[in-house]
Amino acid sequence: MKKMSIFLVPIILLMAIGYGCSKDHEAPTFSQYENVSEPTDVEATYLKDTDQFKITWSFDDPTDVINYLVSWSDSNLFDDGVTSDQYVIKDLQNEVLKNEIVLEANDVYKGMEYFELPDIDVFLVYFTVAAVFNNEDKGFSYFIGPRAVVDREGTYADSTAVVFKEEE
Amino acid sequence: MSRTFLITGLSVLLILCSTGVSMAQDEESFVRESIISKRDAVVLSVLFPGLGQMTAGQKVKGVSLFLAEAASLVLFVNAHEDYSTKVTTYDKDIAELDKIATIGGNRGRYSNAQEMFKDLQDQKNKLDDLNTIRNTAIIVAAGVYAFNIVDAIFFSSSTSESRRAEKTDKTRVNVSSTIIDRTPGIMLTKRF
Repeated sequence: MKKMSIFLVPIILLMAIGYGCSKDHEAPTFSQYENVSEPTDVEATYLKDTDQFKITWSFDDPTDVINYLVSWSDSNLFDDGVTSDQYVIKDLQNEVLKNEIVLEANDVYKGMEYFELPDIDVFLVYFTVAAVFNNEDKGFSYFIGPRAVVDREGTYADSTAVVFKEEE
Repeated sequence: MSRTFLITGLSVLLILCSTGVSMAQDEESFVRESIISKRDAVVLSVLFPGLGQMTAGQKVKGVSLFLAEAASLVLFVNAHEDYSTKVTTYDKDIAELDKIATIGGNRGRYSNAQEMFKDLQDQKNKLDDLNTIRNTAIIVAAGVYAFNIVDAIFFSSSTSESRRAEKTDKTRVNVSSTIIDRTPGIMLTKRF
């Protein structure tokens, strides 16, 4: 009996340590963000006459969307480039949130810190659009959703500017 | 802190143990060595694996058990400390991931949540590895401990005692006074 207790006590002690260590960590979940949707049919067009960019998109269910965020970069690896952005804000008088924005080309370049465009034929600008969600009940407070990239693009290689689809 | 304490403790124990073994060897080579009872051997083995075997004369087995236990305990403590540190960061990051949606002020971004989720998955993989190492080390430590106790109780002492008794007979040197060629002297007698 004495031998058994001598034998069992340390074993029980080690088993207790082992049990304490077996308490596993929980796996991370992304469920909260899985149903956050992104804009679709994003299209960027260069308006040659006015030297502007027009970006349009669609959004299936804009109930929780309070703004849109249009961003642009000089790199196809978006975040690796020099980026800038602008919000499309809801018109408070008419309660309308437009699915388009027209940006001055110069503002776009300056946003990317190009105060003088490089001497090249084609200069690419990469646009993305994201919806800004605000619904406290669903746990979102001005949360910027996934970025949607431009679906269609064209190149304009005529002068100092620009890229994407030229308006016909 | 606790790791340093444990490593220092184990080192001291190892030094004491090796000193004990070398002292026992020295004594053995001169006159006699102390005989350890089976009970003492078991108690020493309970204190730390290998100690009982070492003092009972089974040095190779004793040192092997001691080193195996020490190595697995050091590995366990190391992995456990590492795990504890990393799991704190991991839990904090999980809470941060949930907060991104409600951070407000247009600062919470889906891309940040995605990046953090990827990072959390990597962290989880590392934690899984550490947990496996930790649990394996403690299982090995428990196994070595159990083997050591069983060995000390049922096998070690009976064989070692008989061998020790045999050794003692062989190594015992008798000293007696004698007269050789009318000259007084001391006679050392050793049986082989």
